Amino acid sequence: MPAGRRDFLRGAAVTAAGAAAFGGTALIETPAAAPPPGAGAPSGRVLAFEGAHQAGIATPPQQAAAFCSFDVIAGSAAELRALLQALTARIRFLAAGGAPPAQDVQAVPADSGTLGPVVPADGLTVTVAVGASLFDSRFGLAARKPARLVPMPVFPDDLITASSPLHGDLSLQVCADSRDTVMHALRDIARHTRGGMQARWKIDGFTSPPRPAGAQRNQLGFRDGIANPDVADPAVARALLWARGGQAGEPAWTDGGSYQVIRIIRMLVEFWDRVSLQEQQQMIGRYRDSGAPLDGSRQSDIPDYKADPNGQVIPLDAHIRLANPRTAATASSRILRRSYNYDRGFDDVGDLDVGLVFCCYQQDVASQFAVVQGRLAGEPLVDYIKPTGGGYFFALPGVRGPGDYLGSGLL
Amino acid sequence: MRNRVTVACAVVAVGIGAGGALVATSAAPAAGGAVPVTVTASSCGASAGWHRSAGPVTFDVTSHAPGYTSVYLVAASGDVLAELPSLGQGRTQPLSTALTGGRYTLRCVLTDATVRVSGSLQVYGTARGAAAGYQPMPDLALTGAVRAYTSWVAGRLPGLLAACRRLDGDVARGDLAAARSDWLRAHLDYERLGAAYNAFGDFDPRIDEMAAGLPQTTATPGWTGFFAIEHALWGGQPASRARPLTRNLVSAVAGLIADFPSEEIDPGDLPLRTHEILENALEFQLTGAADYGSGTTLATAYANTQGTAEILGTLAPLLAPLAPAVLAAARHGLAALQGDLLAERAADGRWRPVAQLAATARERLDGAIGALLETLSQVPGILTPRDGA
Repeated sequence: MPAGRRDFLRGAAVTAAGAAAFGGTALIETPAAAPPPGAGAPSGRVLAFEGAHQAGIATPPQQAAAFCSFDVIAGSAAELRALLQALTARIRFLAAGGAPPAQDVQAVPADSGTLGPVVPADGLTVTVAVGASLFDSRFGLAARKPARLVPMPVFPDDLITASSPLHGDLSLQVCADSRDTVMHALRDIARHTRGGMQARWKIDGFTSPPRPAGAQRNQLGFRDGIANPDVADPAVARALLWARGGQAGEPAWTDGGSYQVIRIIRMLVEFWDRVSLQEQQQMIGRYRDSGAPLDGSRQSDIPDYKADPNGQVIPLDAHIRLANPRTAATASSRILRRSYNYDRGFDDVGDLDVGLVFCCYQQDVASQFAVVQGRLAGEPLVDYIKPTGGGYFFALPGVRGPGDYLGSGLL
Repeated sequence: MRNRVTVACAVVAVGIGAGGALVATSAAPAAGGAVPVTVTASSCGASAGWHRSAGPVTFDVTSHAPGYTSVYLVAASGDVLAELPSLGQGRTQPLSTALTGGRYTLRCVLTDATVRVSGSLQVYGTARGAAAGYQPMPDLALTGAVRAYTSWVAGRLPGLLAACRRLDGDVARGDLAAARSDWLRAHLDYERLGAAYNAFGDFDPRIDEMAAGLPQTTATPGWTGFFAIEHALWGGQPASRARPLTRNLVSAVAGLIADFPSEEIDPGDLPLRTHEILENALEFQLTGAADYGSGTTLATAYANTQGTAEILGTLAPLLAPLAPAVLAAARHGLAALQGDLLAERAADGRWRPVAQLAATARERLDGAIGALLETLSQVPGILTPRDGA
C-alpha cells in the first residue's frame, strides 16, 4: 500500500506511525496536478476536480457509470475526516490522471495497472454524497444535517422494502468515458479507504448513443431526459440545482451542494415488448421513433397541454405530462436528470433484469423530486417498471482549492 | 497459495510497468531517455562519469553474463531503490525508478553470486515522488525465523493429536455432543498453525479439505478431514458414519507428526503467510464459505489471527529495523481485528455464525480485516531476500 500518506488508517494512534511506514513515496507529494502528455487518452478529457460544485452533477453524462453506496465504519469524527481526506486525495489524482509514484522495491504495486502504466483521466468524475444515516449519533453531526435529507421514503408503487441496494452513509457516483476507467477508479478508492468505509451496494450504468439522434433511449425504447432544465444557464442552475447554505433552514456548509436521488428502476421489458406501440406511446406521451411529444413532430417540440386540456392527444396520465406539467406552478419542481441504463443479467424466471439507474440532482429534494414522484403515483407506466432500490443523498459542495477536502465544511 | 516463483515473476512485471510509466512522464528532466547499461561476467555498466538531474530514470539493462543476473540500483547508504531480478543472458529489460539527489551505483549479482559494481551515478537536485530505499536482506537472515516457527509448530502438533484423539474417542463412544465441542477445539488447534500448510504437503488435504472443489462436493466419496467431520456431526449423521472420518483424522495427524521433521519450510513462505492466512480467512471464513454446519467460521478466523500473530512475532526481529512502522501498524490492526472478532463470541464461548451477524458488525469486521491485509501485504516485499544487493 504505497502512496499511503493520505490513506485512511483506522485508529488515530497508529496514523502517524502507519504513514511513516510507507516510505519515501509516502513522504513526498505525488505529482498529480500536471498529467503528462497523453495522460488524457483514450478520450483526452480531463474534467476539473476543484470548483464551487463537485464535478459529475452539471457534467453531461459520460459513457459509463457506477453508483456505489458505502457505510462509514470509521470510529470517530476525526476518522471520518481522515476518510474524506483520503477520498479527496484519490479522486484528485484519478481525475487528473498521470503516472503513479515510482515503484518501491519493497512495496506491492501502487496502482492496479488496469489502465496501463500511466493512468488516463478519461473524463472521470467521482461525485461524493452523504446519506441521512451519516447524521446519526456516531459522529455528532445530527445538528449539521442538510435540512431536507431523509432516508428515501417508500413511494406507492415501489418494491424496495425488502431490497438490499438501498440507502447508505455515502454514495459515490463514478462516471467516465470508458467502463474500465470507472472500475479502476472504484478499485483504487476502495483500496485506499479500507477500514474507513465498507461497500454496501453497487449498480453499473451505461449511456446509449443517440439512435439515430437526440437524447439516449432507455430500455423501453423511448428517449429519456429530453426535458432537462438547462443548467448551463447559471440562473437556472442557481434556482433548481444548487443548495443554498443559510437559507430555508439549510446549514451554511451545504452551499453549493445538491440533493441526489438514486432510484434503481427495473423495466419489465418482456412485458413491455408485448404491448402495442400505440399503448406504449400513450403511456409515455411521446412518439417512440422521434421522441416528439404526441402533439408535435420533433423531440424539441414543447407539448401544448393548454390546447389539450382533456388529454385527447397526450393523456392526462401520460408519463411526461405528470412528470412535467409545464405550468408556472410546477416549474420550480423541475429536476436535473442524469440517468443511466443498467443491465444485471437475468432474474429467477429467465427474464432480463434491465432498466434505468435514475439519478437526479436538485436544490430541494422535498419540493422537487418528491413532488414529481407524487404526481407520478399510479401512472399507467407503473405496471412495467419496478423501483427496487436507491436512496436519497446530499452531494457535498465542491473542493475549493489544494488545501480543501470533500466535506470540510461539514466537519 | 502462491509460491516464490510467481512472486518473482510479479516483481519483474511490476518493473516493466513502472518503466513504461516513467518513460512516458514528461516531468523527466531534459537529460531523460533510457540509459543503456550492459552487464557482462566482468562488469556492471559503465565504470564512471554518470550524472544527471533528479527525477525519473530508466536504465535499459542488457545482460551478456551467463545465466541469470539480478541488478540492483543502490544508494550510497546501501538502500536498494530498484531491482531487476533474474535477467537472462541476451535479454534487455528496463530498470526504472525516480531518484532524488545523491550518489548511486548499480550492483549486478551474477549467477555464481559474484557481485560486480558500476561506477557511481551522481544525481543533482531534488525530486518529488522519488522511490523509497530499503536495506536489502540476505536470505540467510530468515533462517532464525524459520527455525523459531518450525519449532513452534512442532511443539503444537502433539496437542493437536491429543485433541483429535479426544474427538475420535467421543465419536467411538457415541457421545456426539462432546464430539461437537471437541471438534471445534481440535479444528482451531489446526487452524492456528495456518502458516504451515504448504509445509504439511499431502497431509493438509487429508486434514482440512473443503468440499467445494470436489466432484460431488459434500457427497464425494473419500472426502475426509475436519470439514467432512463437521458436515457429519452437524448434519445429523450417526456416529457410525463419523467414526471412519475421525479415525482417519487421527492417523493423518499422527502421520504428519512423524513426517514433519523432514518437511522443509521455504524461508520465503513465512513472510507471504503473514497476509495469506488472513486473505483466506476473508475469502472462506468471513464469507461463511467454509461453514459445514457448525457456524464457527469466526472462531476459525480468530485462530487464523493467532497464527498470523505467531508468524509476525517470529519475523518481528527482522521487520523491526527495516520497517518498524509497518510492524506497529500490523500489530495494531491485528489487535483491532481480534477485538472485533471476540465481540462476536458469547459469554458461554459460542461464536456467532456469520449469517447472524448484525449488518454493522459484519461491515466492521470486513473493514478491519481489509485494512489489516493492506498493511500485511507489505511484509513479503520488505522481507524478500536480496542477496548481494
